[in-house]
Amino acid sequence: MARTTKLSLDEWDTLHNNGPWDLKFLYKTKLEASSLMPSSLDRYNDAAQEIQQLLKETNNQNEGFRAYGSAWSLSHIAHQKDRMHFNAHMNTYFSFKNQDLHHLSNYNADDIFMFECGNVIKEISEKLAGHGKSLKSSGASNGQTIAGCISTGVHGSGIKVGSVQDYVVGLNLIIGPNPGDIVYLERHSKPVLNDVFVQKIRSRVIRNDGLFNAALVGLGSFGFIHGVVIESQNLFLLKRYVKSIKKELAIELAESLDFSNFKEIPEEVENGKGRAPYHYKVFINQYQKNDADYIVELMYKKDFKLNYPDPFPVIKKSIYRDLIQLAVS
Amino acid sequence: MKTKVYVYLVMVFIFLGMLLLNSCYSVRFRSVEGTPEPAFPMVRDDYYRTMQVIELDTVITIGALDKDFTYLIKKSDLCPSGKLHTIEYRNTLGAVLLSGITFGRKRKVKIKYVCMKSN
Ligand SMILES: Cc1cc2nc3c(=O)[nH]c(=O)nc-3n(C[C@H](O)[C@H](O)[C@H](O)COP(=O)(O)OP(=O)(O)OC[C@H]3O[C@@H](n4cnc5c(N)ncnc54)[C@H](O)[C@@H]3O)c2cc1C
Repeated sequence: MARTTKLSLDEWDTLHNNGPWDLKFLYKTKLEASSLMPSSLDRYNDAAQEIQQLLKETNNQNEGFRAYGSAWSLSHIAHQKDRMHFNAHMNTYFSFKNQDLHHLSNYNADDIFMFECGNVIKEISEKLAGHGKSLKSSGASNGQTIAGCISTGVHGSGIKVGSVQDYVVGLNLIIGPNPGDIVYLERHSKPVLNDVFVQKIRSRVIRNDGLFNAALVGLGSFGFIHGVVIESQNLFLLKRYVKSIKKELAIELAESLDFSNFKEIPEEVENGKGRAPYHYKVFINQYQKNDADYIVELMYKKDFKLNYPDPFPVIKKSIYRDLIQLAVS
Repeated sequence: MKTKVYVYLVMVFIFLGMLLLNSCYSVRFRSVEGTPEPAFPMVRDDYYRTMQVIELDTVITIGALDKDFTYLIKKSDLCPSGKLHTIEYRNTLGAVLLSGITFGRKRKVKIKYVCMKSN
């Protein structure tokens, strides 16, 4: 059985101390040990039952309940004055085969994964990398949980990728303590998983675009998000360039996101046209009003290979170096 | 004469101060892979705020012929995976002095470690 720790506390706070705020009880549910319950599906369903039990206990006391992830939101948004649930230890995941997909699904089964709510972005990236896959986008740093990210609409900076919730294709919600209160929600227009799988997670299926979109960025108020089904993409590398280019060109590229005529990086020109980068950033130095140029940063997607150069020295120095370049330009 | 003693005393204090500062340091090893076991509840205000850190402050006895000592990391409630994510070793003047006056037989071990999050 999943184990819940229940602490009686006076207050709760975020990572960055935006509180503290009053609290009565703090819960943490941990999945059953895989040595005792080897099937991930069993452990997942068992945890769902445990959450329903906590909801029942809370309902009986006529109190409120809210799930939270890493408490990285810099506001009171994750707080609830009665009972809060820390999800980090609910962190199993599922990959899929063609036979799990809905017969109308256009998705590639290899790209589809369901992550339990408490998986943090770093964990997910590592689990996906084991399948040769990657998230399409994530926020700065990687300690947020997947459920926390979608609930607040966490954005990254990949061009034409959108935010974290934009690659979510299904949600497994626990909306109450009763049988029938576990719901698998996905878009009617873009079905993903079939009813056989939905039955395996003991859920009631709802395929409805409006409901799905409403629940997606729910700020913790649209039930307990237990599982998040995402569409991943192939693992990739990023190659980074920092350039000084004409101010007008920098702005035009940012506005149009059309890089076909941008040929200042010969390695990134293909068939006479500039390739589209995955990331584009313009550094603006407001103290140099008469500058003819802006510094821009471009990152291009590359096929994944092993033995790529260690990115840490570049990451460590990149901002510092860019700023120096700005200061002396 | 008095001034001379005073100057000597100040120099001794400066020397001891420098010794204290230099002998007090931490070295941290952190894996770039894996996720740390999260803190529950989150109460610390230091580097380890988000992490379930385990602190070990003890004195070990090393035999005259032994050159090393192995401390086993085992699975526990605070370290469910039994695998290391971060380890911080701290050296202090007290540790240096203890080792010195016991001819290396007694060693102060002051470490903090965080385990990998379990699956
Ligand atoms: C260092 C740092 C960098 C950041 N970078 C970015 C960035 O680049 N882009 C950006 O957009 N934001 C960024 N943020 C903000 C942060 O990513 C968001 O606040 C995100 O929601 C935090 O995720 P979390 O797991 O900590 O969620 P929490 O803060 O714990 O919770 C957020 C919301 O999700 C709800 N929730 C969590 N889990 C569940 C669940 N299982 N079921 C139902 N509701 C749930 C909570 O109730 C709450 O309303 C950053 C924050 C920090 C501290």
